[in-house]
Amino acid sequence: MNVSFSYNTTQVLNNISITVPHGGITGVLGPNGSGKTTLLNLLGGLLKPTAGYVRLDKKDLSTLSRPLLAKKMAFVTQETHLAFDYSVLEITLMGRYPHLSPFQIEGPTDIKIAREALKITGTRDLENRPFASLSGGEKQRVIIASALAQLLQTSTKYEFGITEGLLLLDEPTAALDLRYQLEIAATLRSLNKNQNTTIVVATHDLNLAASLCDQLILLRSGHVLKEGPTPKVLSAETVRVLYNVEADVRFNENSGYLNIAPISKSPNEAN
Amino acid sequence: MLRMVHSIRLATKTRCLDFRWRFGLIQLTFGVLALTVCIVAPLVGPVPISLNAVFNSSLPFSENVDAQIFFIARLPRVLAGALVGGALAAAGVVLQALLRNPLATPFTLGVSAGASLGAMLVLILGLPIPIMGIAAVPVASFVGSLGAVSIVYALARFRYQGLSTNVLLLAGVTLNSIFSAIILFVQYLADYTQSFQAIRWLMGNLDVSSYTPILYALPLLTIAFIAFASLPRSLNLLTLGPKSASARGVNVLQTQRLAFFSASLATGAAVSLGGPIGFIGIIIPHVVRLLVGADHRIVLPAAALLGAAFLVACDVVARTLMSPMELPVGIITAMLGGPFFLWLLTRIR
Repeated sequence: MNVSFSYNTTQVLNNISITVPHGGITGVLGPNGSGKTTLLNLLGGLLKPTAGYVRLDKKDLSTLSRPLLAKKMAFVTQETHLAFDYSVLEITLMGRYPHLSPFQIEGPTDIKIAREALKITGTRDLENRPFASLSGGEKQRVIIASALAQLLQTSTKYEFGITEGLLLLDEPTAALDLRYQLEIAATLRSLNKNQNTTIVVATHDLNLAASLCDQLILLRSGHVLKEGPTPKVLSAETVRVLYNVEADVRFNENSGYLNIAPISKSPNEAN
Repeated sequence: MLRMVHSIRLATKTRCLDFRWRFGLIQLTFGVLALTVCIVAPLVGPVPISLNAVFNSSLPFSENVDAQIFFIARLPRVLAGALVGGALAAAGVVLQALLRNPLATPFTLGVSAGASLGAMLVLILGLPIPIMGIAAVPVASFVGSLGAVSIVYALARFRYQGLSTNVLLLAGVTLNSIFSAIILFVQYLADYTQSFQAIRWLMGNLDVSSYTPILYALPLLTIAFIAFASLPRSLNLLTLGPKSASARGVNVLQTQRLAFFSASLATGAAVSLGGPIGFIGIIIPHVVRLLVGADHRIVLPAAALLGAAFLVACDVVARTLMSPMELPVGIITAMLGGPFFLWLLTRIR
């Protein structure tokens, strides 16, 4: 609420107030430098606001310990470069870190949970492969699996389930081709539907946001330009204001989602 | 042994082997190797001795030449080699993970150059006065390493919320260059004998003839190894990047600080004991990773054991290759270890 953030003297977010609804998929859109990644980092507790506060279930994030936060929310970065070559299962098991005490070793339940996470993301067959040998899409899905292993808990109703997990993803499809983009989108949709995971995704891909997100937050120069349900927020007018680009935004009957086709730079571009 | 360690790794990759078994078997293998080398090493030298004669209780110590050679001439050297080798290899593992850079070594962050400068100043300014019963050179080299660590740490924290590993790396490399230039300058001003002494020290040497320097280095190394024991799980996550590690619950700054200071402490203590012995801190961690995988919970202790075994074995070669003349062990480590590592690179996929 009323969150501001600045790096040294550069103000990145200026007094913004947003709410991420529980159980939904929220997209954060905006041009380069609008503060999307900073907002995600603040939501994940990886940065502390210079003014205002961020709350999770009515509790100020700054009052929660890092391991406790890590059990409730997971963060998927844009790209993951490993200094050393771990196997896919080892990477996934790293998600169990907050659930274990300092010298505790992953037990059979942790391995089951990691395998379940790999199954959910369709990477169960890759568990013994070195991470470095995977394709871009496979790597991203394994990183999502590691984040899921962080959130998955044993529950009475299902063998494993995410009860109140929040998954934050920063440009999850940025480096991926069309097929992998669709794969990641399908994985996220299924997580949201079947595991009741609350998802926040920062992206440049308007079509991904239109097809995936229930609600959108549009950021421009550190301010919230618009916030609300996707069909209401996403229009040719908002694309023009947000990106200075003329676009054709219309409902696609085949896909069932809005379709955004950029046409040209806006003639009224301020800069 | 290579085949044995590698088959343990393959079995665990497919989770046929529980982590505890995998850990135990690998550490046991490297432990037996280190122990065997440390027992055999004191028996090898220009004068052959036997274990039976060494522990012959019918002869008093003052008359038992074998026991005197074993306990006074060779064992301190073997213990020093094991401690220095283990410390440098473990520090290498920790610093490579901290900096997320496979080329990092215990000497990358300027610790060794600081230590060398301290030792050079004492050798060349002719101040070999013992301080609190310890020879001046190890004390000066340890003080020099602390000075370098403080400068590098202050620079990496300056204007950064966390610990900038980029600044850490660049400051370390720059400090190495500055200190090396000062060392050359001091050597240039020195006379021939002092300069020769300085060069010999820089080559690394385990010429330890009493237990005193070992006893002084031991508390420092113990503190460093206790810190190392708490690090491996966090180091695994740190190799994903600080943000990913933090998101998984790691206290990144605390881990980075602990890794930096413990690795620097181990390096400073090791260099003060044996001089700047190169190669071990960069290659042993990679040899172990090639054999057992990347998990730091297994790599860190295994590297310490292999580093200990390797340096003690190299010192045996240094003592015996051109006997009665002794070679500086720093020359042997790279001459023996380099070709072995290149061979290993071609053997393991």
